[in-house]
Amino acid sequence: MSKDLLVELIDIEKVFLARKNFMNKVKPQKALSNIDLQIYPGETLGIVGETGSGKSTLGKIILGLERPTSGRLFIQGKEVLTSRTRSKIGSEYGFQMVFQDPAGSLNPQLRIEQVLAEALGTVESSPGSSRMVRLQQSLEEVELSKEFLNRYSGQMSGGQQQRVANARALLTKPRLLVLDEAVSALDAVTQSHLLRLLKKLQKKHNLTYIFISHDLEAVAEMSDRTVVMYQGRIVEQGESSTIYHRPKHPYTRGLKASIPIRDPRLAKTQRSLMRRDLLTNEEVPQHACPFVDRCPISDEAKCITATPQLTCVPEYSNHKVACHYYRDFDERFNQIGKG
Amino acid sequence: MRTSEPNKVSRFDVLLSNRSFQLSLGLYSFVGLFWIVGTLLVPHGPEDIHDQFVLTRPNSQFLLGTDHLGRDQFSRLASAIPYAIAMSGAGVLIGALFGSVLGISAAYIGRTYEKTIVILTNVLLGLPSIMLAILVVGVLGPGRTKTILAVSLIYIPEFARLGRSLTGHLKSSGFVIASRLMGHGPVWILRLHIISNFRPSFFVLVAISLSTSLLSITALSFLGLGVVPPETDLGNMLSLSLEYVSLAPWLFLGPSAIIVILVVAANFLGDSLSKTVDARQTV
Amino acid sequence: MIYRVIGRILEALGVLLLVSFFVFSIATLIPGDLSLQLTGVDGATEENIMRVRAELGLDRPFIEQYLSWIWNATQGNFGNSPLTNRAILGDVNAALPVSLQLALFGLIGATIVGAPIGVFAAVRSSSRLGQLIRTNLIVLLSVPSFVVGALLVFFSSRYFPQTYRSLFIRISDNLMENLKVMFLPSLALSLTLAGVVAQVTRNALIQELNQPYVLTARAYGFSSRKVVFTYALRGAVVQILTVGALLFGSIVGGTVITERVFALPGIGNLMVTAIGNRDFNLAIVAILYVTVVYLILNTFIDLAAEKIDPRIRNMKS
Repeated sequence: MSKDLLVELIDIEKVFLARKNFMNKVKPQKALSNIDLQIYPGETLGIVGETGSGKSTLGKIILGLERPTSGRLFIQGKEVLTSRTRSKIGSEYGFQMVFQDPAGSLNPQLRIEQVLAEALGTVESSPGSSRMVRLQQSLEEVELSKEFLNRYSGQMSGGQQQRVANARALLTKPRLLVLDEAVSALDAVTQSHLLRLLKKLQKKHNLTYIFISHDLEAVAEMSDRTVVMYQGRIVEQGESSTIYHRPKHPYTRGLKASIPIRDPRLAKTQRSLMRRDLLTNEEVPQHACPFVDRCPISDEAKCITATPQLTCVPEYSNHKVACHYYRDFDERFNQIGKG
Repeated sequence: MRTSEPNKVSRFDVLLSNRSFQLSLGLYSFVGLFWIVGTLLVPHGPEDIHDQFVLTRPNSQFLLGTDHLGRDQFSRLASAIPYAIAMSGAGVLIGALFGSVLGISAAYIGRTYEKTIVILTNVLLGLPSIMLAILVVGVLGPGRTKTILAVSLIYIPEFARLGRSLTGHLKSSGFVIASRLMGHGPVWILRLHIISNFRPSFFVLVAISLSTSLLSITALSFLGLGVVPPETDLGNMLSLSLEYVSLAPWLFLGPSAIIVILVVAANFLGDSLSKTVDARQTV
Repeated sequence: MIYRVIGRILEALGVLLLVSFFVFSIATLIPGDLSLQLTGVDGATEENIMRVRAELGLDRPFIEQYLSWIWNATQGNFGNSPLTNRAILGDVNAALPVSLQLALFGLIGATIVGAPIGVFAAVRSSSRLGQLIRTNLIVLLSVPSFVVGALLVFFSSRYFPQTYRSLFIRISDNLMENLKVMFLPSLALSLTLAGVVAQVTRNALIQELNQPYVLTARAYGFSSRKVVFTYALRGAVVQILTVGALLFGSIVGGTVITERVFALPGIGNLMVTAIGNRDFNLAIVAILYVTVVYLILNTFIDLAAEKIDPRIRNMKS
């Protein structure tokens, strides 16, 4: 375990037991399987995937909000026991989170001053005190006027609320920030504004970011490294530019191809690379590639019987793919057709 | 983008400008005036017996007449008013506080404790409220305190249900999770987040319950189960007046009018309070 | 679907069991049971009290009392009321139809009066008239059942002595006479409940009318009338049914009091008299009868609501 690493996850698995219905059996859901991940200080790690890929769960496990069913978690070289009933990873290690829903993360009954002060451990601050000054500075940092201290969250726009959430997270002097779809609920202009702000803050405070999103473009732009997830597994990981410009896994290729083409003339030529879901989550066999029913190049032989493992791609450093046929993608695609 | 009232001062302003609220305030003032006049300005005491003046018509000496024992109806009525208001308020508050504690703690602690409370609440809610009160008062016996307790039983399950569902909701909200991440414990979260978001709904339910509380107490006394003679209550004054309706029909008017006014006032109050809070709720 | 029905019935039975336990324990465990009243003040020696208690079976352990009571109850035997020495079952069975009749008449009357007012208020909610009605509704709601009943007694005894009957005639004996006797009480109950019915109808209908699908129907050019009656009302009916539970609380309360005011021999009156006499054996049976009716209605309403409005059905899963 290199001490360079901020966080390391080894073979993490998370299974959710569904609520027992009155007469139905309990249905377990595997949210994460075989997750190995390293996070380096100061970097931005992007996690991209659809709903249900497990990316949010992964973020929560890093923060200690969820406990993995099995596997090991290391923070700064020391193992964190995952069996503790009360994990305070957030405050103990300086990890914080910014949520997807900006309004939901701020108590609507409190003034922003109180919302921010909570991060410092109090709720009331006397005007002029050093605490108050800190609160005002925190708002300035996210480019909000200190007038906002007296407002309620219901009186602000989504972008402003999200900035307050950021300010609050920063007040705890964190080391790592999990941004779980932090900009997804905002319009495009506000999004780019906020992302720029985030980058600025990262440099200033030397933060590590985990940027979770369904938007491949945003992830590629923000992160140094990217991890692509599908149904609880990592299917591809590597440098962001490589992932974006030269995706190897069929799913990543599919993601890239489904980024909307804005030019209306070219948009007509856009085609999806993925087939529609043919099997439900439960119907995919245990030891198969999770992408098998939507993959354009999958076959009955290997893809159904053996789960592909993450293997290194020889041409690039630190790039891994979990696919049996990624090398022959173009060939197989033209042969089999778009399914 | 939504706009809403920026601070607490204008919340009251909204309330004050609400027609229903003004009406209710007016009605309560009238009743209050009645009480003051009846207690301070009228020379007779509510318990004073005037043997020679049994069942007299309203005249200059007895403004609303006298009952079968020769007691002045006006002062009796006036003396019953503060009790009516206080008892109904107490019934609601006791039930509300007790029920809220039960409900919130149930959602917080969970497991068997919560399950038990849910079952108990459902059972109590499964009984029509009047019956519950009748039963309890019947068992405990008549009297002011016991009546208050019996009536509070109606509101315990209602507030418990409110407390539990709201707290359950709040537990998974973003700001609570964020608070946990900041390292705050359950007590802190309870005091800062849960209570602050529970308060508006709590007060609305209290306001709405005031009228039913008054109705229940009066009904119980009317049936002879709540407040019984020699103690005075609007309800038992009313039933008494029915007994003598052929001999002294005017006795009926006072109690019924006051009862109706008080219930109407409470209804308007509840209506206006719920409208005020509603406008501020996030959609 | 069948599972749901069975589930609900089981739920209701469970509640009934719990309520009976609750009620029974209150009745049995409080001090001052009947033994004192039966021995009388003079005969209240230790021996006598013990003897009376043994006769009544009050000296057995609580659980035993409860279980034997349940066992007898399922066979229809509630024992005798120690005060009247008649079978409780007979008294209660005789009283139930009276209350049911009153409640039914009252509800029908209330609907006839209240529902149109509610619909009108909802449809015209923005107009001055609609607002006026809304305020008045609150006033209407506020007049308690005993005041209404008392008012009617008051007026009828003075000005219309022929409508004011003091002797009750059963429906099985003489229909016409029965209706004459039931007229005033039913009127009283109807007026009491009309306010609630109107308010509930109005609120439910307003909510429905604000739904997007109503706007769509209007945009298609459906006449207002058709929209209101065919579509909105359907959704509103479900809401009304749901609030029916709340309504039922008022119905029971109103019926009890109206029975008292007009001296009708219904369950409510029976219950109150029994409690006043501390005859708890009788009282709890009366209470349980009402609870059973309440549970039956509730379960029925819930199931019906699910059937009528698919939204509720889908919400449940």
